[in-house]
Amino acid sequence: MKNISTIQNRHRLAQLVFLVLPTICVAGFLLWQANSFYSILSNQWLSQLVYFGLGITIGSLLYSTRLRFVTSFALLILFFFIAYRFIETLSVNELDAFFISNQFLVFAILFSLGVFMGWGLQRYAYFSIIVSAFFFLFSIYLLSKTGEFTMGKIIFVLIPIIFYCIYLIFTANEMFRFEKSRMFSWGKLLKRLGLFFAFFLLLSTGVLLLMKNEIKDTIEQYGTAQANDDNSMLKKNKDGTVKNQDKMSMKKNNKRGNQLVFCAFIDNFFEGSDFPNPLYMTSYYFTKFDTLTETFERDPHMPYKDEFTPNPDKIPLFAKKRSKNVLDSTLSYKQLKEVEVEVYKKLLAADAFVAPYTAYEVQPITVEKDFQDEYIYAYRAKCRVSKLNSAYFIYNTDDPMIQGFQEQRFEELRKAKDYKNIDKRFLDYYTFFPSSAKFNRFKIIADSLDAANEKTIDKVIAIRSYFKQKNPLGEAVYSYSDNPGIPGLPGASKLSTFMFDTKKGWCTYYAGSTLLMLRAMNIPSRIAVGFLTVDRSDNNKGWYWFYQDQAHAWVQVYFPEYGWLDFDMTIGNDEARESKTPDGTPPMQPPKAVVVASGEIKKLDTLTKRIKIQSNHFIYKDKEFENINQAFDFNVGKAKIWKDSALIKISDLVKNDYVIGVSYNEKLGDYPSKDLSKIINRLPSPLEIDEVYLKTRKTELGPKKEEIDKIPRSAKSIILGVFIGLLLLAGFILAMPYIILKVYAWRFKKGKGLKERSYRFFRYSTYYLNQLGYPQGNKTLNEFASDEVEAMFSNNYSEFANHYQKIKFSSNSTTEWQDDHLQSYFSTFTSSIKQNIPFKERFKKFLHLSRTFKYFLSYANN
Amino acid sequence: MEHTHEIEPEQVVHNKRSIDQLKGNLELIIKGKSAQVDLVITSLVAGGHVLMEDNPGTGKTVLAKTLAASIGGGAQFKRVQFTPDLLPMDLLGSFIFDEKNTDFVFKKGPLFCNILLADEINRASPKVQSALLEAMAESQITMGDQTHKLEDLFFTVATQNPIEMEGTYPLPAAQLDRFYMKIYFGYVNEETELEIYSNYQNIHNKLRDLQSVINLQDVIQAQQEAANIEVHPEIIKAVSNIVRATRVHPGVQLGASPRSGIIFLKCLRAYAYLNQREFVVEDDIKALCFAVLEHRLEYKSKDGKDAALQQILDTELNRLNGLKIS
Repeated sequence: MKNISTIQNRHRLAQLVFLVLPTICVAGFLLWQANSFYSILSNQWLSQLVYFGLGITIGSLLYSTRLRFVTSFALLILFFFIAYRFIETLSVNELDAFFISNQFLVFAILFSLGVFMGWGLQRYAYFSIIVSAFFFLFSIYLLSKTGEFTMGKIIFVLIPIIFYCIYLIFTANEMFRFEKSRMFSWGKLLKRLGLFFAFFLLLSTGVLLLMKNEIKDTIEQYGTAQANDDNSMLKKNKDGTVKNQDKMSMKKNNKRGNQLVFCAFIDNFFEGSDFPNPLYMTSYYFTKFDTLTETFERDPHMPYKDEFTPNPDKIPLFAKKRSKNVLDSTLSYKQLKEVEVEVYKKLLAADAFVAPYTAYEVQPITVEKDFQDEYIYAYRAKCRVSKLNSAYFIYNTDDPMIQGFQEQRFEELRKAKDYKNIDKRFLDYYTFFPSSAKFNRFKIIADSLDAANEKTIDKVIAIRSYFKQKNPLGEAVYSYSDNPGIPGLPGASKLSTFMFDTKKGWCTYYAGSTLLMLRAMNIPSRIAVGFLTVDRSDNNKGWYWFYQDQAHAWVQVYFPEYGWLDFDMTIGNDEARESKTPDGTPPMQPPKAVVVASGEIKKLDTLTKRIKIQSNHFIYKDKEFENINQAFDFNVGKAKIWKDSALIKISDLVKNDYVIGVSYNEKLGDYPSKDLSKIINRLPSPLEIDEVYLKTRKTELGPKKEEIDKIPRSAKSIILGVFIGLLLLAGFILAMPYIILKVYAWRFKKGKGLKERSYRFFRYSTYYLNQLGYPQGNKTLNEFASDEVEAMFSNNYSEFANHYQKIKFSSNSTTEWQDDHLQSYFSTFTSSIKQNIPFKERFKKFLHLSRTFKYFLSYANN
Repeated sequence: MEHTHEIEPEQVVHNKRSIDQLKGNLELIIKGKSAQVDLVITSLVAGGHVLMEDNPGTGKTVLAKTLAASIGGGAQFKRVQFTPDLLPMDLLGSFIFDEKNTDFVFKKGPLFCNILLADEINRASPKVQSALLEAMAESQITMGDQTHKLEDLFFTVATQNPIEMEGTYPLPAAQLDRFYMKIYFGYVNEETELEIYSNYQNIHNKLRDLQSVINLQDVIQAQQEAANIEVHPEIIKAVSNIVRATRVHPGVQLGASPRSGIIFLKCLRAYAYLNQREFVVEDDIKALCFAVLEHRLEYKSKDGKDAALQQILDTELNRLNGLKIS
């Protein structure tokens, strides 16, 4: 027989090693994290950990004796309170007092928390659940504070915490079981712990191995630095194509590729010359700003929606899609001109659309056969471009020639009116400035620039100058960097850190900071993303090549009567304007289609090479007729017939194929009428067709599945989902015994005939009694009924037992115990149980899953 | 089931009463031994013999005597005290020369009775034991060229002291098989014992003045009626399962014979009859299993004695309990 006190000492030691020590470790980890967020903690997590550790150790040891908790803990709190008051009065100078009292408060809180936890872990087995829940929630809170929910963080922060929680609950229970049995053996405890660790390791490895691909995918989608070529301006699709990100947040670094994304012909030249006038290519506008995560986002509800984002992949070849809304929004602007562009996509996603501001029409076109290896899709777009939006006006460069040129624009814009007569809603929306205090410093700078300048354009120039300022040594203060890093304190504003600390970053940082300052000055503004356009060509005038590193963000400022004008504030990214690889040859531009008719083949004659189609879509030069029902007779003797990018023979066509017939014959196109029937009457029949496109059904289908899958889900919602799922599962498991009871009751009610119903009631009643802690065990039903049930509930259960036995083993049908009798006994039985055992007790007993298992095990032999 | 005869309710009630009275009469004298009394009556109704075993002075003989005294209507009760020098003819009877007829006539021994109390059967020599047991099994005695039938109701209550005691001849397994039941008497609980001590004079007087409550004819009728008690196929299956399981159980050297299964069923019917039921239930199996089967088994080790049969019984009872009926 071991000495009781040695056992107690061992138990104390085991508590310290297995419960208190891990808790201290986890607390240290969380304190270290918390110190990054709260200035009041003043970054001394190690000493804070000592406070906490001291508290929990003392608490654990102290309360392993029979010390009364309420009194002692109240005394401790009282002592701290008096001491705190004393320190407050004892002020050497104010700062010191604040510092000391602050320090003391942190100490007092952490120490008492430690004592409290030490007490709980020592005295109550279930306290471990409270402790682990506390730590778990605290860690989730801290994680959410960082704003960056990367898969890596989740794995490396949450999983250890979850592990700790499971470990603590498990171990504390084991400890208390040992204590109850008054025996303590290290061997047993270590064996169990070892088993637990092995099991946990096995499980987590299994999960990681099984879900490797999913985790990898998620990391690629959400992670910041894990993926290899992660261009923060471009989003990479699964098939390797790219498009602009549809939101923009401040990240640690930006890796740029230099592959060709697309090339474009912009039909814009300086008046009276063949000198190309480049225009920035725009994808989206970011009008909303998420203060917490410092993310710029698109907003489908922006006022006067002037964003044109068609999906060229969905538009039939040569069909035109036009946004009247966009067109209307530009009507009142001055200095506009019509510009046509042709975009040939290489890496750019099929559904992406980029064009100079403001595009209002798109028309998918074909790529010439020789260039089909290089360029996959192409479209033509029409834009109404402000003459003040030439790339040369926008560039932020030190080149004095360009700077001189830009003065013209500034002069013109100085004529612009102020914002007095502008729609209030519009103005409020585009001048929204986050109220969070962390952006106050932007406001201060903006206010000083605002006061010094009167005209809007001068204020914008002042911001640009602010970024261009030089220190007394003549060095530029702000510089370009693809790797500015994130602030050391995860809670700090990344934009502020860029603006006031590191002073280096890429376009996202410049555009974001500029936007904040513009809005602080009440100038309506937004961020545009797309591609920077640089004229690098000598031979192919009007052709521009766009590489991955030209993905760009800049600001747009609204000027009354002039509309949205682009301003690029990014410092010194001249290198991006220089091509790293020589530009290729531009693709041959297809001639403009004069007649396009598409429809199903109704008649096919391979001998005379004639096809008749029933067309529902007809384009004549610029005029488009939809939903028509017109028969056309094509002569395809000289036509090339395409299926995807392959030439096929006329014999490959079959009836009911959907084809698009195109004629490039300019001679056909001099008839100015707008009437469909008149045009058709003018056209020769059969019509000489130059190209026939056999349409695959691909484009007719609805949105691809992939796209639906791509709807971004935030990591938070995933965690929340998993969490809720787990909760539901746990709830379901806990509710299982009750559900089973209800199933038995239901089966009793649905049972047919006295025999079956009696059997069902037998199962129902024995199950119910078993769950309430009265298992039948090895007793026969009669014994069980008279010895236990009757004694406890006095509900005539033995009468049922007798009748049940009779029904079971006698061929003599009984008369006195019929269906209705059984039915009424069912309610007698149930209510007798409810009377004898209060709801609270019953509820508790229905949480004993082990009883349920035992019940089923005892019947498993049958 | 077709082979069972309809029993008139009044008739059943009437006979129940006499059987119940028998039981009540026994319990007047035998205190705190309800289960044992039930078993003895069951055996009587089933038409078998019982062997009662326990230490001396636990009431075995008193029970047998009370039983005999309770059955009236010309029931003959004989008691034989078995000793090592007892000879078979002391039991069966012997030929005596009749001087009048100048012939040997058979003088019937104590076996020719209705209720025989064979006290301390294990003290007699094996020769006597086998003579008794043979008579019990055959219900007749053959002496020389004459065969004498025993009484219609012949019920032997044998008692024995535990075999470990000195000067005894243990009964062989084959002989034991002939007893329907082996009943352990055991000591009564403290309360009952106190009651016995304070009232022993009273009890003694009661035994002396005991009136018979049932006559021979009633017993024979009860036997016939009990044989008609319904046994559900599942109960038969359970008996078969238990008997067969004893033969394959790893703890058992020698399992139960088919005869024991038949005896088991007879006893079950009698027990149900005793409990005023027209059918056998699983409780009957539980109550009788040990008394009927245990003495027929030979165990591989002494430790496994109770465990093996208990395990078999529990398994089967569990099956019966959860049996799905519809």
